Amino acid sequence: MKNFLLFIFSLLVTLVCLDIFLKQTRITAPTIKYYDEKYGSLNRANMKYFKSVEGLFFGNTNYDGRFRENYAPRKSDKRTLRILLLGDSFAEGIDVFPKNHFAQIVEDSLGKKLGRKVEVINYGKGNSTIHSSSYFFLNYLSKKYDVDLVFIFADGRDLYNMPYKTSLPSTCYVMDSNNHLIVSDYWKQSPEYRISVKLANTPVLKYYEDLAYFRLLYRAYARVKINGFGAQTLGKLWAAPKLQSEKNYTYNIANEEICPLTQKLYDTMYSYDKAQVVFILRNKPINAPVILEYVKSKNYQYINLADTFDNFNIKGTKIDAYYFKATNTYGGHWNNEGHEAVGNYLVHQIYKNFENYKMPGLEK
Amino acid sequence: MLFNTPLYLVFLILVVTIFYYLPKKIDKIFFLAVSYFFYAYWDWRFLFLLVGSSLMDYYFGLLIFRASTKQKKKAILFLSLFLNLSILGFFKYFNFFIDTFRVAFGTKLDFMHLHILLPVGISFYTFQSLSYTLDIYRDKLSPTKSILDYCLFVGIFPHMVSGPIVRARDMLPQLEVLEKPLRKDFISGFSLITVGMFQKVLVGDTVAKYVDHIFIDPKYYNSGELLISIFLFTIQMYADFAGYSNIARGSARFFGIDLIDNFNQPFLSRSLTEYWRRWHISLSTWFYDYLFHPLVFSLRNIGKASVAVGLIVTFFLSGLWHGANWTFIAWGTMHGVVLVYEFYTKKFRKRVFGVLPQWLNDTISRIITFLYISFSLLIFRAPHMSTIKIYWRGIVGKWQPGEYTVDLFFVFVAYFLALITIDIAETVMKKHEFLDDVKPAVKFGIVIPVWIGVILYMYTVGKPVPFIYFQF
Repeated sequence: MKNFLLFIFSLLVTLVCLDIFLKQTRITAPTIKYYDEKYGSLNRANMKYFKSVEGLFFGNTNYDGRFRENYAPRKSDKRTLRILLLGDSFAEGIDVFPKNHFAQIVEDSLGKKLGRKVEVINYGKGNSTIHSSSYFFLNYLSKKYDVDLVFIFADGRDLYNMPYKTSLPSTCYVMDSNNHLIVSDYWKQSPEYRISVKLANTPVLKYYEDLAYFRLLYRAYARVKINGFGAQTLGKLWAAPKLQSEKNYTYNIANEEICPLTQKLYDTMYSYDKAQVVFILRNKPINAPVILEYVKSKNYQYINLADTFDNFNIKGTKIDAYYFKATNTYGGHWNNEGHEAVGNYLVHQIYKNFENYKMPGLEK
Repeated sequence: MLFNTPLYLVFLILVVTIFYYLPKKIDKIFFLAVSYFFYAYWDWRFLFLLVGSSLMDYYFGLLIFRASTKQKKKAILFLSLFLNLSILGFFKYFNFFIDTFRVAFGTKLDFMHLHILLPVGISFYTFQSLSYTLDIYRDKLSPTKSILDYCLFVGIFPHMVSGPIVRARDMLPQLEVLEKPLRKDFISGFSLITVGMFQKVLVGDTVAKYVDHIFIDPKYYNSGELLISIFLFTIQMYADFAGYSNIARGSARFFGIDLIDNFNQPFLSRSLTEYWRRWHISLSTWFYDYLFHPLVFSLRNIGKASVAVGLIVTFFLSGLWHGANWTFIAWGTMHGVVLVYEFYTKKFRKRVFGVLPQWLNDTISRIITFLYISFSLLIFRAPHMSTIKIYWRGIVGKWQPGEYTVDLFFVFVAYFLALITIDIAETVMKKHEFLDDVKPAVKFGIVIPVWIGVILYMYTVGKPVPFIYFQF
């Protein structure tokens, strides 16, 4: 009995010490992602956060689980220009210093140029496409925050409309007869979806989320479910080589025709009448000429960031200088210089097109 | 195959189980076969190099031993040294020498630049082989008659890729009478692997994410963040290498083999001289036995200066051994210079600082030593001299604490406390296998959560972090 108590005592002391160690060193992510059918994957609200994918990011999430401060619901001044940013990890801009994020540059530089306060409400979220959070958030956020301008990041991944592979950021939605996007049955069967939903619906699990060990267990479980226990344990001895078609899929899709669902989403979003919608087209990760052609043919407002990167390239500066070195160029995100380039280009384009945007009461 | 993967755990359990139950006459062959599989898992082509190098030195050992005159012995030894160092030089230093020559003389030698991979562990097994032929030449060892034993000495998987650099005179007697492991071997091996896994997986691998991101783009960070990243790298180096060594020693115990200690609480060193007695001990003693000592002996006519020359030369070459880059050479030479300073001022320092209470003297000495080691490791870690310049300007030029300094400082404190706790436990218990002497109830209370943490972390990472010393 004495030995058993000694065992329990030392077990608890070690667990507590290790839990503090794991949290303090940020070995475990401070949250597990929740999945919401309507808003996609979400982070926990109001907590300390750390990421180190390509750079370092120490910060907090706001009440909506975004890596930003809490935004005031209404403008403090009628002259204030409010921009809502909907997009993926490029818009989210994790791993860059917040002061260097392009949103900050837009707020500062555009504010000076226009002689009015500019506020950027950033709802960028890694792996988002128009199918997921951008579409859902447009109505909800533009009303909530009283915005004048909505930037929607668009790239080749918006063309995914098939449950081809779960690791691709395909959100696997389908549109019902009322123009509502609903989660497809295929996506509902995926491990990520099931784990997230299970977690979201199990209060006792949420309670344990504060334990670093539990979060480690969750991540390990999710990875094993996605990759398979054999592959995760035995590595290349077990894992089957990727099919050539899968490898090329990401790149080929950019040249495919724009699918009806994506078209419908773009059209529905652009027809939003409470604010001016502007599509931001990126050069990476998937530059899709079909999207550019589509928005041009429809006369939609857009800013093509590929132009700015091409310009820098012509000047003799390598494009790669704007991407983090920690990852390869194709998979990487903009670094601090990249954000500066994007911020300056956005300021230039917004200022140039300001009169063309439909924003009642906000003339230059 | 990396130690810090689930695959290694499966491999080790499987191999140890089979080894234990195999008939004695084939267990050595099995041990060698699985060791070669372990090596070939990384790149099978270099297995030929390992086997070739082993066979070459085995026969050189015999030839030296059988040579009738000292001159013949010397000639064979030189041939052995020449061939071993040529192979090492070709794979490790060829491009470095070409680049240095090109920069020094402004010639275009790009066409000579070779795209060659560095075979894992080449520096380690080359030095092991050299110690064998050198010891035979110096009559400190008789060559083994068993080619199998010799191949095992060079190539058993626990120590083959990153040491400890074992000596033939320590290893061959163990291999000749290789017995099945005893219960105590399993217990102490398990203790060592547990500590090693904690150090490597939960400290070394995880601190790497901070270090790598800051070192790859130091210009984004301010003074405070740069400074802490240097200390974090010191943590990473120690956790990574000491963790590896503990896993290697623990794994070897499962085969009844005792590898030498490679680390002895280096953060508790009170001087650089003491540090080199506690850090990478197998390499330090190798250089001491085969380079420093003979060199000082041959220069004994110049008195105390022979030690100074010996230290500078030894640490210059130790830097070069670590890698084909001027940063490594600068790092080694810096250590040599400070060791010379410590050698010449030993009495003076004792007189001056002796007035302080012992505990204060020790504490100050430990802090200064830690700071010096950390700053010298900046040179070791920097990919180019330009990185050092950015660091220097960032830290010394204009002090700016930076946005993440406080967060990073607490991260550093957590890692430091984790490592120093192990060091203190080892010091108090006077052994690396300190868990062996703890009551079983307490031991399991500690070991179970550690292993759960280690295994869970292993399963969360897509690509494990290789050992820093793999590149050497």
